[in-house]
Amino acid sequence: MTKKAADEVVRLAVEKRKAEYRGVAARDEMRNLIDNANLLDRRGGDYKINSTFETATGTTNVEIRKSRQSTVVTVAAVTAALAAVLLLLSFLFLNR
Amino acid sequence: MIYAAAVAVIFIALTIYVQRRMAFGAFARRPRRVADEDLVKVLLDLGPESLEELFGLYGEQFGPGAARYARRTYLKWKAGEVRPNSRTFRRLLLHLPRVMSFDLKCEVLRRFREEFCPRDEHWLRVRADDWKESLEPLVRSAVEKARTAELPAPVARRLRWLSEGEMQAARAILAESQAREAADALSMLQQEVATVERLLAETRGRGRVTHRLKLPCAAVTLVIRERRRHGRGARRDSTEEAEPISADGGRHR
Repeated sequence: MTKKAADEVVRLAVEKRKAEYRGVAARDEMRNLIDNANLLDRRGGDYKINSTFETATGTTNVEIRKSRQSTVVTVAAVTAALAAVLLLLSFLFLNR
Repeated sequence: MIYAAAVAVIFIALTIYVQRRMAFGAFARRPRRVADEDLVKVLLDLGPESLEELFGLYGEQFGPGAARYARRTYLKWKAGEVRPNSRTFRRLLLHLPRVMSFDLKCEVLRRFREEFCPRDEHWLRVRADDWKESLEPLVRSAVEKARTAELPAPVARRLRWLSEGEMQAARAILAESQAREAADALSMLQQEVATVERLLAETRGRGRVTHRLKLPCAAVTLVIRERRRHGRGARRDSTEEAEPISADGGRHR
């Protein structure tokens, strides 16, 4: 039984070391991802990159996107929502 | 009309809340109806060394023909293409444990705990500077849960040997080991969040990061955002500034 407990301590240390290696590899891959995004930035235009990395403690999902169109859509949506709220409020007060 | 709008808003908010809880929360527990084939599948998911030992024992106990058949069919059993019959189940999970080494039985117990002990799912939205406060209580509860987790009654009832005699001590060792794994994960996550923070800083608000933290008795999905700005014009302490990720994994100086 003591041997099993000692084996578990060793196993945990090995798993931790493996996890650290995964972490280092993930960091390198993230570095490459940023470089790629910067490259696409310099070229101009819209892009979207989606990457998944196996890290020391789990899985990291990274999405990098540049989209002028989506910014326009977001601004339009926010403006429309604000207008709707204003309309609702004015309706409320005018009906009093 | 206003009442109708308010009711609609509440209804939509409730629907979103319930959907999110169903995907990530307490409702997401897997239903547990345990069939022979489920138990055999979990057993056959052991590591290569343990599996080799298992098939060796199978050959010794039931003859080389049966062992050949088991080796040939095990991938199909694992994939669910062929359903193991009740004789295979009895041989693998009721007869063999009597002749298994303690180490192999521990590995089997570990696999069964990983597969069948209840697992909590959490979803958190955190910032690079406050993730620890939000996450620590969850990890503490996962550690506690790992220490006390038991196999569900239907599994324990069918595989009594998993909770008898020396396996009680094995359970305690494995539970402690899982608890330490969870604690280790928290310390390793510190570095990972720092890397994510640098990534977010370098992508200047265009990056979106989700991290799924795997713990022995829980899984936490973290949506990580940049640290909070300290007011207009306020400067952060320069030591806290996110530095670029270098190719060798360290920070650029």
